[in-house]
Amino acid sequence: MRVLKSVLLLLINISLFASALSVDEAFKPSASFDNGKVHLKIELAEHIHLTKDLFKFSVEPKDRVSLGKFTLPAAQKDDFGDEVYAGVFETDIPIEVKDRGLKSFTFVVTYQGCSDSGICYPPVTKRYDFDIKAAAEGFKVVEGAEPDSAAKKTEEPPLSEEESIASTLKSKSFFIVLLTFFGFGLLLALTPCVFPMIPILSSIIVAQGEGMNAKRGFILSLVYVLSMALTYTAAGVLAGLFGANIQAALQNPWVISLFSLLFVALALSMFGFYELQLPASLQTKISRTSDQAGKKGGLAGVAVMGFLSALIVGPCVAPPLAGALIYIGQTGDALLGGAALFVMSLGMGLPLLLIGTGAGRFMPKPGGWMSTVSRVFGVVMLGVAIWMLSRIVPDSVSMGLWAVLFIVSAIYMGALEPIGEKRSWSALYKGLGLVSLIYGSFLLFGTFTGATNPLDPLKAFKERPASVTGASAEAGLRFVGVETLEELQKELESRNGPVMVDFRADWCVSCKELEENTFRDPDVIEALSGFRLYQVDVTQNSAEQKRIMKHFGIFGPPAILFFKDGKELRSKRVSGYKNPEEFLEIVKGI
Amino acid sequence: MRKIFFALLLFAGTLFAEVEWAMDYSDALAESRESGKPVLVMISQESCNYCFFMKSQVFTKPKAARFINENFIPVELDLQSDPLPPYLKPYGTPTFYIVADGGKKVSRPIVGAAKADAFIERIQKELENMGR
Repeated sequence: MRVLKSVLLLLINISLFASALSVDEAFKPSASFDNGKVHLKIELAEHIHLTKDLFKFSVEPKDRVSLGKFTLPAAQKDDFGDEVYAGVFETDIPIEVKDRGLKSFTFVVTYQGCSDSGICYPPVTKRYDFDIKAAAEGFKVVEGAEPDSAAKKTEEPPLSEEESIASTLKSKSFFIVLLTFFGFGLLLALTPCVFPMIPILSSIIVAQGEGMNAKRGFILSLVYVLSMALTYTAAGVLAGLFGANIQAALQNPWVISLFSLLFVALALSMFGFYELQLPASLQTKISRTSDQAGKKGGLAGVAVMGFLSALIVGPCVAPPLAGALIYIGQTGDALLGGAALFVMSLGMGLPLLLIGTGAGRFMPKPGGWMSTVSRVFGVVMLGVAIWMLSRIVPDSVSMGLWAVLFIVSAIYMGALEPIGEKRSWSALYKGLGLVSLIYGSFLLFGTFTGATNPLDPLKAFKERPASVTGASAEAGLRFVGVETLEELQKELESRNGPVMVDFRADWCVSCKELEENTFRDPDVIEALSGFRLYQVDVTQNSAEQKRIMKHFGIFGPPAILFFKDGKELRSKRVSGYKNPEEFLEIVKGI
Repeated sequence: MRKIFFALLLFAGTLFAEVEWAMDYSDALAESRESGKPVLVMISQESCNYCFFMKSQVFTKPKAARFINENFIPVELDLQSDPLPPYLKPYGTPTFYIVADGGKKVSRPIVGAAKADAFIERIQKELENMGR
């Protein structure tokens, strides 16, 4: 899980929305008491989430009232693998009154959360006073909300959006998204969808008559493609704008299920089980209008035709288009949405440009391969459906689904069929199909051996990485895990020989390097054989862990301290990665 | 698809570097006086994933670490447990400040996590604003 977490760290895309909210704007708590239960409700602003593990509840006076048993509602995983809540958090907490004579009590809740824009808020503590007797008749809340010391200390200076770092963020992923969409556009151009456009465009060019040359052909087709692109761009911008609002709704398991179903439906249409099209009558109407517009000639006419063609072709490319729009809706970014759809349509229009310029010379021949491209899209969409579902179903289920997807695709690719007479292409398909089949089998295998990462299905059979408590692998060094400063000091005092103390954390990449290279090196193991080895895991950065680090004046992992006869050898202190040779050099003199 | 891409990036980007943090704020101010470099304060706190992100994914990038070490005396302060000087009033973490002339000149708060390039760009802009 921790390893997965560090992988996930790289996936985070610190968002571009960052309008910095103060604590009070980010979280709007309220509480009521009725029927022996405190009903706590915290409304979260957009892009704000609460961390499940950081909730703390208590009631006062402690000797007369206590909390009953309860579990917090199910949460989703965030980019860091933590369980978090978004939207509105609501829960009921039963209160057990031990003293019948008690008239009122105080409910105390502490919560903490972060904003997707890359800020974590300090913990907030709210206190609510409830009148028990009044609650029996109806209920009455005496609210005495008060942020705790940390929150008080940091009365928010109002921040303009400009000041927030995320606003200057020109994330590289923006271009990656654009590039991906351009690629999708190119692929779309290879589906039969774009072919109705070819006669339309050709007829425009033919209608131009004798004045026609490559340059004019290029300009005409460029105008055509651009106006088509603008139509899609508008769709992208709208998706981005409205997406920002539906984004919170998209976290809802029902909505996620619905969307993944939608993707499955779209995928099935890509496989040719049924077709999505405008009614035929409407279609002919549009194409007649566009014909007339085309006859008028001129660039404006061509532009109108580009726009109308986008509408005609729209339903045919609807499945991938809908996929793209949903993706953009999730990012909630109108600029990205518009840009992505624009480059996608440019990709789609590229072959049209070639055709327009070369008057048909570069046309690929239609054929069975086109439906292959459609099917590839179908598989990709099923993948998207599983990816969406993976947020709400257990890991084992989504692993299983991945396995099914790979295996079934493999069968469709003819992985288990004889190649037959026609060698070339069928051999390639069969080969790819076999790879998919084998990978799918591994995934299925992984599903039953507890793997959770589809990229690493055979995890159960690999060497385990250093565990949290130490013991750097069976073959490596044996560390004793230490959790408190006192424990460590006691150990240090009682040992006369050389001692090594290693500070590590799961999120510390250099620590991983040390553990995987240096601490596994036979010479290093040999050199440390006379040492007593302790390890302090500071992954949580808890108060105690920080106390230990502060005591030794360490700012963070990795840090390796050497002691002899209870005294630290300051000159030997290691911070940062050292390869086995460098490390041996340091250990030598001890 | 993005997952695969980034997983590949992960393996490609395994070059490390580190920021040389000062021991505490007064040490940082003293070092700043000696070297003439301004102090770069990072305010962080427990259970702050974005602070971990900065420490584990950004400050380990040679480019970012070099930029910080060359231009600043970096120091990390905890929002909850360290006493903050009165001119630093962050409302969340991570928040960065550039402190020059022993606290006489303080930048605007630079709020939130960012990837290395954006971070450097933002800090540079703030240095320009301070007339450096």
